[in-house]
Amino acid sequence: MKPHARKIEDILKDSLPSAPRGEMEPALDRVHARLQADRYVTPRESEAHIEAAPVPAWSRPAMRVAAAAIVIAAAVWAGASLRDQNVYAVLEAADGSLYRIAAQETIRSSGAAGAVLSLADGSHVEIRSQSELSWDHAPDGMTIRLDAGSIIVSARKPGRQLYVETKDMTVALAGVAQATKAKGTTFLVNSANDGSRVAVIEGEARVRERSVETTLHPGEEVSTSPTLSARTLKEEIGWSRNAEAHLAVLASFMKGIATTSGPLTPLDRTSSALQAPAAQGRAAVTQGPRFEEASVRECDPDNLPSSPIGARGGGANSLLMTPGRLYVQCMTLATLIRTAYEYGPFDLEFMFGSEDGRGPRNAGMRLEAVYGLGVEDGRRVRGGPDWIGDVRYTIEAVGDPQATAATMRAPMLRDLLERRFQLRVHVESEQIPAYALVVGPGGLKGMKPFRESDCGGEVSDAVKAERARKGWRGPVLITEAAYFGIKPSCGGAYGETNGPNFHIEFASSTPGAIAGTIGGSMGVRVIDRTNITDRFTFMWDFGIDEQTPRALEDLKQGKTWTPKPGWDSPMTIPKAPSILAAVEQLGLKLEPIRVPREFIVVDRVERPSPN
Amino acid sequence: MSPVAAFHRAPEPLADELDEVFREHSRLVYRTAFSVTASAQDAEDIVQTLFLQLLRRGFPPDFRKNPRGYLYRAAINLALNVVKSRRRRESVVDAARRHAATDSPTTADGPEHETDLQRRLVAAIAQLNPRAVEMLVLRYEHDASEAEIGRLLGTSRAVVAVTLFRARARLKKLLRSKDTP
Repeated sequence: MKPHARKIEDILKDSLPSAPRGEMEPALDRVHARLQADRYVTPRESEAHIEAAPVPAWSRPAMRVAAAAIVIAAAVWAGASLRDQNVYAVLEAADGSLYRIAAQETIRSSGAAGAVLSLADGSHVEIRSQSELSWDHAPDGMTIRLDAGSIIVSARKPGRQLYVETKDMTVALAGVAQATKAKGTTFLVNSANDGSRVAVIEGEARVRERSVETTLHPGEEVSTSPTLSARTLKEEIGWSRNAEAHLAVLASFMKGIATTSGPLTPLDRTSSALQAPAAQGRAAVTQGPRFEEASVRECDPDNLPSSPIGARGGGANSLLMTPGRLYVQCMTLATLIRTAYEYGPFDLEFMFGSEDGRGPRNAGMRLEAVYGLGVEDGRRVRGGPDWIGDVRYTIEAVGDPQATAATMRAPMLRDLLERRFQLRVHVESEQIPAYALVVGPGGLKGMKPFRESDCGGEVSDAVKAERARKGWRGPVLITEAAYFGIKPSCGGAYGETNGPNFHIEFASSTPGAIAGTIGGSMGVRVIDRTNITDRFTFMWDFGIDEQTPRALEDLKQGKTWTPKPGWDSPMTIPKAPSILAAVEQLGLKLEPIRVPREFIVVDRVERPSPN
Repeated sequence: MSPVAAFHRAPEPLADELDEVFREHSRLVYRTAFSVTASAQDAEDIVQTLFLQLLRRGFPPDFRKNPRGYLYRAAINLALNVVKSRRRRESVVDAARRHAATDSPTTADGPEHETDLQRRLVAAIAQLNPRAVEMLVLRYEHDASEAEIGRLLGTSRAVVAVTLFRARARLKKLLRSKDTP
């Protein structure tokens, strides 16, 4: 190597900056915390590609002046405590630039466009142009000080308090119901020379003006300014880039349980139909716990409630149970029938390869959780007028507070439907094509008989550290165990899409355990008829292709593996055989059969009796 | 898409997946960004910018094909962008103010871990083309072999060797130049 080349190499090796490890880990922890807080954030219009249009990194105040129509006044407050140094808010200007905003810095949106401030607690503040505000720490959370203009606050994180102050009002999220806080609260705050205005779009907020405290619900507002109160809420949030979404959320809550359900009335008053001729098939439930009062009201099909922001459940087609109460929000009667009679949707039965053909029975449903139950498509619940699959109802029912979730969602709901809708049904069965999983002529292959001594045992601190570094908290998998030279965790199975394949590991399972995986991947019912009860330890891979349309759909949606010690990179994994060939590699085979599948037939139903 | 659906920026599966990607690759991004910017603050900013954009815009196809390579390239691009914008800014800053800032152990904007040679090296690297910077940092910061660099960046070992040779020669020239700050 030539001397000059040697020298530049030395310079590169010696002087190329290396990240100090002591700074890197805390920095990454801070970034990760901010990313966690940013999971729910308002969308931007453009969807530019990172590499095609690299944007400036976060800028600090001195860098940002020219970049956006936002002017950040200097942080002039002295004495900010040391603990505050690592807590920032993130300001996203209209042009997409991101700025770090420390506590007590003043944000002034001086251009025509607004901005979005993301707080460390996960809340977001949309700022109208010509507004001025700052944020600061509060003893139990954070405070936003709005000096002028308008903001829309979306508070997300339960357990932390968020306050918004204007010159004459304070908005507090403290003390609202836990369920409301979990869903989040969105509200508008205006601050003008002659007063302030607060309006709640979603959730609840407490507003204090001098000594008067008011709790606001969706659509409600208080104002100390005659100018501001002259404008409607719809007009007032029209500037928001998410105005449509805010209005939709508002509409959904306005049309939700609170407003679509009618007054509760005693069910006995409407239960005379129970004296009607005996029900066919599954008879009316006349014993055990029952709902005593209920409200059944039809939903407006053009204004169905939407899911709350950031929630997976909620909105139309949801069911919630609390002690002694059942809430059904805008569900079709067909879906309710399917739920009440403990049948699952057709498509889900593929993953539960039972012989009886009922599908999953919602056994895991519990109190205090909102469930989206899909919309019955007419394959599981048949017969009856068209409206049972089209018209949606909001139902609120009150019964014994001691009733369990399983009792309320099934026998009590059936009883309610039979009393209010005069429902009578029976169950029929049909034969459908399926596969039986059986042992091939050569016997099982590639499976190691399970022994109790093959699993469990100590996991060293080094292994724990490596697993923590990968972020993997699941059981010690077979692959992992081989990598570390330890024993896998006992029992269970773990599988996921891995590169072009689906990979699943069974630490202590019967060979028939793969039936659900096959059925779920292929979209067909697979019945375990291996008649083997011995347990084995084995791994199984199959290539994802047209034979496994459901797994293929997951792959197209980008589902892939999560890093684990000892797992190869998905980039380097060769494609495994197709699923049928992969089944044969285990010494098993699939035989075409026909199995029964049950469905519910509606014999009699009427529009619900008035509340 | 309904207005409400449109309001969801990062669906949970994406956010969950991003957690895994962050755990797996954030150190690579940070180290890479630091190597180019010589600033812990800028490196942190770049990590945040990069992952925030992934969270908000989803994973692009190039990321799916080669996550590590994609993040590495994006980190280099963002870091070069920062260094270039820093140079532009400094060009209009009063020299005395710049000297004063350099005397400070940590400054609001500037690199806080650099010696004079390191500062000149960072400035010189910013004048190379991004591809060359990608290879240089992999070679000298991440100790990757030429073959490993080729695999990560999707090119041959020979191309890596030639690019590195030319990059070193150009760096040497730039470090000798009085124009390099």
